Amino acid sequence: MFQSFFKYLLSLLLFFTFIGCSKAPITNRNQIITTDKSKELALGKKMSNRILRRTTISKNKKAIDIVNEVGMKIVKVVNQDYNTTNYEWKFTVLDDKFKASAVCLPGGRVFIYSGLFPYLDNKDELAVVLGHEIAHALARHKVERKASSIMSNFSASIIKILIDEDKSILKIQKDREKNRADEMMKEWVVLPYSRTHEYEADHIGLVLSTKAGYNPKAFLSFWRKFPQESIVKPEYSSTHPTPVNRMKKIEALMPSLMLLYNKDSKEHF
Amino acid sequence: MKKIALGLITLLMLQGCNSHDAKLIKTFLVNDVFKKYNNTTIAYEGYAFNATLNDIPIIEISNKDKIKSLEGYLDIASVRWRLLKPINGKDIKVQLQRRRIKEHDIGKIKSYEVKYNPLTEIKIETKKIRVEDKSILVNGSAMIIYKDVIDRVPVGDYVISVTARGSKNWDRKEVFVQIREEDNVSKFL
Repeated sequence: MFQSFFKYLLSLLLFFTFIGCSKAPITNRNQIITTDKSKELALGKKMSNRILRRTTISKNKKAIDIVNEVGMKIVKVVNQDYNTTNYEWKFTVLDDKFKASAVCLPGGRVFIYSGLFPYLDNKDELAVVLGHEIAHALARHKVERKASSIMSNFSASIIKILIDEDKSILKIQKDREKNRADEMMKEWVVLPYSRTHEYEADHIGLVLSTKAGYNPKAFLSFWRKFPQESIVKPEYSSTHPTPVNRMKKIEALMPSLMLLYNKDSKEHF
Repeated sequence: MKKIALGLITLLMLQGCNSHDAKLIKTFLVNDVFKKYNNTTIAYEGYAFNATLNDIPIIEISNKDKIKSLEGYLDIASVRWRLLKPINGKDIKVQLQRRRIKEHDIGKIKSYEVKYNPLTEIKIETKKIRVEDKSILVNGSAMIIYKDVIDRVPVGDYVISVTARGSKNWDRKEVFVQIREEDNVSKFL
């Protein structure tokens, strides 16, 4: 039985090694991506339609103008440094006062919810948010997560088969242990992977927004406004890192970002 | 290093499944601990609904020690929330949204109540208005009386209690709020 598992494992590894290896921009992290770009764009369009069906588009002209101005400035930097010809960058403001978030879909469609506006005090902070979202699309995080979920599902299924093989366990216990295997994969693989993407999007997004002429220190002022730790959703059970940990990571990058800012701001203004 | 760690974890997992001594996988899942903890902390402490005052969100307080005006407040333990930014005290608009938390769902919000508890000394300039008071009857008809009212919440620091009554249950948020003059309230978008 083990031999056949190792064959499966080896073939899966070879499949990912030859077909899907790429590198994330700026951080140069190795990625396993198995979805091609045309499918990625189709996925983005499908997700975009789903969001638009559920939420209404804002008519706040001031907000729409500022979001487009800041967003397109960052996109200009992206287009200078990377080949994003397939992307259709578009920024949409959605009305939902209780949702303080933004999202960028594969292919470059960015949605920002009006619930985020009270957290923003200037264009620099808005650039932090938009840069982060653009970075998710640029680094193709959505499709990378798809590949990682294939791997975690595969590992979970190995454990499940091994549980089934064990004749000393009752069926009811087997079912419970199988559920635990799924939860274990979520806690040990899926969630940490998602948090890695968030840290990476912070890093890439800040480099992009700084290059576009926005102050990277706005990252710290923006994240200080959020509850630093939540008792309802601690970091280990969340797809996102806590603001404290995000700020710690970015503080380490701040000297080099400030050098970039001082150099680039002279070019922009 | 990461690859070695991942390999070791996988080995441990496979070993755990294969062992006859350990009939069940004895894995430590933080979520299990969290679930037990979570059940007891959210009841009647304001986690069952979201709220905004003048479109500014109410968020969890991370560090109460940093809020000086809360120092002398007797029921400080119940204050778990704060308004993100100071607001102006005129025409305060309260909006609530039900959060569908499995363990503590209050159902569809039917009504709400707001109480203002000043933390600092505040200057109240009231004006009198005539109102019909149906609790005082003269030969079956309501009496007209004068009541003191203010048209805006005075500048100062407050603990605002927002109670939501839903179709299944109720919940309350005790919120630290700063009321400021219009000029001192920032608005970017």
